[in-house]
Amino acid sequence: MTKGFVLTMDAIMATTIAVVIVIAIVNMLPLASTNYFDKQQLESIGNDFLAVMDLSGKFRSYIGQAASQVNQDLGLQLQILPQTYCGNVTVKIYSGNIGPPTTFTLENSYNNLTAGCIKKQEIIKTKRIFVNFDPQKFGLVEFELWLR
Amino acid sequence: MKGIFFTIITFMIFLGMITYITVITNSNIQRSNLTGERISANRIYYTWKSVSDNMKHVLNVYVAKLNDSAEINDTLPANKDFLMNFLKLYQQFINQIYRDPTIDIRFEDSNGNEVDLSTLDPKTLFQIKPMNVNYGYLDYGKNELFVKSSTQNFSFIKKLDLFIDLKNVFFNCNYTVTSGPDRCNKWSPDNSKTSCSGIEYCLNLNLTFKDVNGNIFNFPEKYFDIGGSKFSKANLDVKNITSSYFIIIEVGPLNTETVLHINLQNVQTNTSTKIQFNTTDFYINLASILNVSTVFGKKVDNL
Repeated sequence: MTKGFVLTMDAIMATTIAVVIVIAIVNMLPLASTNYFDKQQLESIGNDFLAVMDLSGKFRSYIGQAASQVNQDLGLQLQILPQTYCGNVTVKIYSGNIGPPTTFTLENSYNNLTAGCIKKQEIIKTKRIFVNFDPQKFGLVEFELWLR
Repeated sequence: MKGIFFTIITFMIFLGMITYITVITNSNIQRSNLTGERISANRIYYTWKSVSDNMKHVLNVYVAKLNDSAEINDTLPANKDFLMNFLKLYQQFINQIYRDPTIDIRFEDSNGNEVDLSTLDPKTLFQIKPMNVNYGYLDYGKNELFVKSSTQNFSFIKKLDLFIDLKNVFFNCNYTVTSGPDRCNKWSPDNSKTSCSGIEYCLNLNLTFKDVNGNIFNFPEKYFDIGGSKFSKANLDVKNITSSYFIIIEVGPLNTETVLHINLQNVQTNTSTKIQFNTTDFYINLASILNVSTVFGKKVDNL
């Protein structure tokens, strides 16, 4: 009787510990994947993409252009991304008015998405500003990136 | 005896598994924290760069360091109110549109107090450090250009090249000669020298003007004694369709920390200034500090 009770208790404890260990392993494994490194890579690529577009004057060249033309060009620029990356870029152009209060009016908004991509839950968002001296305009570019 | 042996073996196996899990867990937590910090650091850096890079477009000035030279390409003059409003709007745009609750972006003075960009001193707008040679203007109208240095730091300047492209006037003097009454290079007072030999504070200056017709005049005077209160002044005679006037060029004096002062008298120009130093160890700052911070860290540097 006592032997059986000890054996049962032993089996229950062993099973419990084993289950806890298995659950712990299963939970920890995703952290060991490349998930975080992918995010870091996406963030860097997104920021570099925006910096190159800004410093080359691309964003400034969109000021006053027709939406269809700019959206098409944004689509072409997105093709620079590696095949496994998807991007959704939005360029907003504002004019400013000294107040008080100082206000900004959204004049144009352009957008395009990498061809053949569907938005996913896990995305990285980056953004950058640009300004134009003459005509005096301010721009905000938002860029969402995810893995295909 | 057998039971004790099995118990020990089982205990050791479980101990090994628990140790393994602990190590893996800690390592993964550290890795995720490190990656999170890297992503945050990236975000801070790129935000800082974005704000900093665009300042040159606000001021319409392009600055670069090339080996031992600081090169500044500028458009002068400017509409003072337009430029001051642009600086105000830029700061507000950052505050209202770019900044979000997870990131703070502030322009600060050297004491860490938030500053209004339009109140930055235009006279020392661009500071070349550590020698504190300044490139700036009398005001944001950008009608008068200054290159300034203290007497102690003047020896760092090896040569100053200035090319001024006049957009709306032509020479009203004879740019094809360097002597005679109608020459362009009339200095008074004239402290130009044939060489820098034996002169303690001697500026090697290469000054070139190009007028709206594409004619080029390079001042033949290359060396100027600017020590103490000595300075040289030239009035470059130019003319537009309706009237003639003078662009005033002053070289020195160093006792007022002036290396070069040009009063454009509202002539539209593109200028290219190259300040050559006797060292490559310098950097060019705007006279404001940009502080970008998140809960994970911050970057606080001169623009």
